[in-house]
Amino acid sequence: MFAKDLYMNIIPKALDAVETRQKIYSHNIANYNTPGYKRKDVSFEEELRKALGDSDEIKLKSSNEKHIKNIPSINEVNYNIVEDNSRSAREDGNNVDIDIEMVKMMENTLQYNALTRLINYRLSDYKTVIGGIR
Amino acid sequence: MNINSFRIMDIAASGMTAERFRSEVISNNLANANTTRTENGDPYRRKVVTFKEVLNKEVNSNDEQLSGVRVSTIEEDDSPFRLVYDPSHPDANEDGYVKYPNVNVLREMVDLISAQRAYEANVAVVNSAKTMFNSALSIGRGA
Repeated sequence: MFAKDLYMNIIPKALDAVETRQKIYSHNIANYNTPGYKRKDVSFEEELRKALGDSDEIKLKSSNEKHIKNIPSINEVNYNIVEDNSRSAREDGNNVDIDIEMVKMMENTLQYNALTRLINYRLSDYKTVIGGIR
Repeated sequence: MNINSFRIMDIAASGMTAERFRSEVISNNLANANTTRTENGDPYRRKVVTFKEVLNKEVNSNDEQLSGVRVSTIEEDDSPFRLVYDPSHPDANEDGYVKYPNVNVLREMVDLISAQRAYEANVAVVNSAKTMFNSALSIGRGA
């Protein structure tokens, strides 16, 4: 029932990515005092944008699963963990800024809550359809 | 959401453990700021905690899982002792100088605040993870 529903396919993936991102931020904060540690982040939105055909790249048309694709389909979108190698003013080579990390984490939590709310709305749509007029 | 989701809390807990341990060592340094004689006869030496990032190999794969932080070593600060002129002190040398520990109380206090702030940050992580899990649990409830 959900296979063709874009919402039901994207939101769980996004929840997964956002949750991993939370884990990464948690790791960054835990390593706030580790010398030489470089902060990490998750890139997901860019991949998703590509898959949704929202980027500047020209999408190769395919009518079969085996056709060459230059842009991943929704089901193949995955998040990547990237390391931020930028330098900082800190002496110990660590580039974690605790305030930035906290703000990003709060933002991420809100995003997670928004996504769960979205999926709830979608589920209640289904419930309406199934229940009909009563 | 899978069983690994709770690793967020484990990571934050590892940060809390490490920072609390650092606070303990700092408080030990402060408590011994005036200890002129230890077991080996020297004055107390300031102790420094160093942290290390933890990466665990996942079962059945080579992916490295971020697992927070842990204390890697406790080292002694090799900087010279503080010399204070006090001929009446039992530990004074022939010239009347007493070797005091190389603990700088101001510096220790600053480190203590840093450890405390980092600890609080980790607590905030636990709280936000809790909010996240609660909202994940609400999926399908109101529908």
